[in-house]
Amino acid sequence: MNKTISIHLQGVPFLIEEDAYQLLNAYIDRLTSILKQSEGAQDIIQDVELRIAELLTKKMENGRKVVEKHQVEEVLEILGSPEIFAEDFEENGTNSTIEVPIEKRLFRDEENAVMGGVCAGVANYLSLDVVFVRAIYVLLTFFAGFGVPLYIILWIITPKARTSYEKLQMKGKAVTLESMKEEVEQAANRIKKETKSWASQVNKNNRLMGNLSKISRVFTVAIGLFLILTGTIFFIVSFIFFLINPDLIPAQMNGEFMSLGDMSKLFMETESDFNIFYLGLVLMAISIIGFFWLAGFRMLFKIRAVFTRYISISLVSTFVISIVLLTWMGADFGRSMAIHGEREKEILMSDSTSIYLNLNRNKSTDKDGFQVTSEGTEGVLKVANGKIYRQGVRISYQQSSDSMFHVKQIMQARGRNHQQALERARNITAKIDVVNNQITLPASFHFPVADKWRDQEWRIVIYVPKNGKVFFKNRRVYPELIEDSEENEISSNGYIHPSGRYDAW
Amino acid sequence: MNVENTQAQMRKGILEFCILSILNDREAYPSEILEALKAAKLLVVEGTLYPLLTRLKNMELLSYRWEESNSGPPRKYFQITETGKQFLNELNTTWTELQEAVQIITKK
Repeated sequence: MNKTISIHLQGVPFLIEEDAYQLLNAYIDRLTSILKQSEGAQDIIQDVELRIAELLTKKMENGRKVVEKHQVEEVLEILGSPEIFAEDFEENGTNSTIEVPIEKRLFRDEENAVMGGVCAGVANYLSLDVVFVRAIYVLLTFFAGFGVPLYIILWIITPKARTSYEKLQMKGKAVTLESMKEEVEQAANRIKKETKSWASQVNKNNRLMGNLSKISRVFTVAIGLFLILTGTIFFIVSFIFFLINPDLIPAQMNGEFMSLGDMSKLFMETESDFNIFYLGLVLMAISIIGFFWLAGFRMLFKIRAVFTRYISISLVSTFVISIVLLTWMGADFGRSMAIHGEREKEILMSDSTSIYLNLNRNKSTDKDGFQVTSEGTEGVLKVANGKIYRQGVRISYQQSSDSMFHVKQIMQARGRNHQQALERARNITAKIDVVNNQITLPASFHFPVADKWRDQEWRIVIYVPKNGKVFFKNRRVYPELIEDSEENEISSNGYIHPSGRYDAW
Repeated sequence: MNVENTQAQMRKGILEFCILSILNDREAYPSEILEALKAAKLLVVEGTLYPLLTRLKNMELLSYRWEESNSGPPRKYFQITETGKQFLNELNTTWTELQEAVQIITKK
């Protein structure tokens, strides 16, 4: 089944099949453009149309109703290619295959368009693959920011390729009877395909559906752009994290902040564990970025299904591998933290009514005679000289079971087994000075980097007898005196910040 | 330059002369002119004719009138003008001279 069009050719009506009409139209277009400058172009075109009408009338004499493509082809064969109409054309017998290169022009290619066909048109003009042009355009949008206005401007100023002749001009193909036929055939095929895909849709109102599909196109493009943007942000973040690896963590290592990489090394038992963990993260980032980009590009461009499938398969496998690696490392890390080990030691036993806590901060005096109250080493974690330092002192208060003060320090850590956990607990160093009822606590405790971070803790437990009092820097902290009130606050926990501030709760 | 090309050049040169000669006998519309030219094997593709007709018309060697046709489009009947007849006479003389010249040269 073919669509027919009704036309008037120099006053003679014809019913003509669509592809035949396209061919005829392309011929006249080309002729018009060739004769553009020459004198009497109108007359010549009129004469040619008269002749075509006459020849077609003759072909219709045997009772046919509709002009078919092959008939138009025959007629055009008789007339010869449009080039022979040129003033200075030299006829050389059979010349319908002579190729006259034509001037290439920029048109919008709506047949291969996602939105306005600008990219497809530019691709035709520069003889590049359209995917490449679109990729550059998306990059311009995200990195230079002028992609969108550029597109809109090009959309407005670039004419759409309407006729077969313009389509050939757009692609820079030589215009011959052959190439025009080819173009018309391609157009016919496209129409057939589109008709098929339309037919498969439930579609009652063509115009409404057209508008809807345009709107949904815009939505698809918007979502696509969003996905690509998300992927790109993810990409930039990953790039910074994995390749630049800046010192971002507010914990100190060799006097500077730590990078995430350095940080993870504190947790990982061996270098190879770290590498596997890192590889897992990189693979996961790649697959996630890849999914975003693929989904985004698929919404923007027509990517070949095979291509998409291969990429999806590799992305899924990458993702699975990364999950396996990370799960493996996670499980291993979990096992290395499984067993808890704790050591405790009584550091003071006293029958007095009060004990005094002090914080030993490394006080030094600089050359100007100032006392250095901060070396900038405060923070949760500090790595120096092969040791991990943790700042602050945790204190907990409990009722003494007798009438005496008992002060204990507890060191705890985790490990794969008891022995390992206890070994780590033993490696925790905290220098405490006890003189009479005075306990001088260090502002930090430390353990070897080789032990890794395994929840090492150091804390002080004070068992307070009835009416016993605890002072910190000459201030009563247990029971705590509440200002403007006669009541005492009995807390069960205290924390001495490395700066010397005391908090209780 | 191949033989075909030379042949085409020669044909093209005398095409105007032939068109004027045909129209000197009687007025005709393009299809009739084409028929005559094809019968004489002077023309391969029809396209060549139209620019010539238009040129001759613009040089006022030809004029035309419209005539309705029972079958098909209206017809453009061309006829030779007075200037055209003078022009044709000159061409005739030239042609006779050329023919003689060619005969003398190729006879030997």
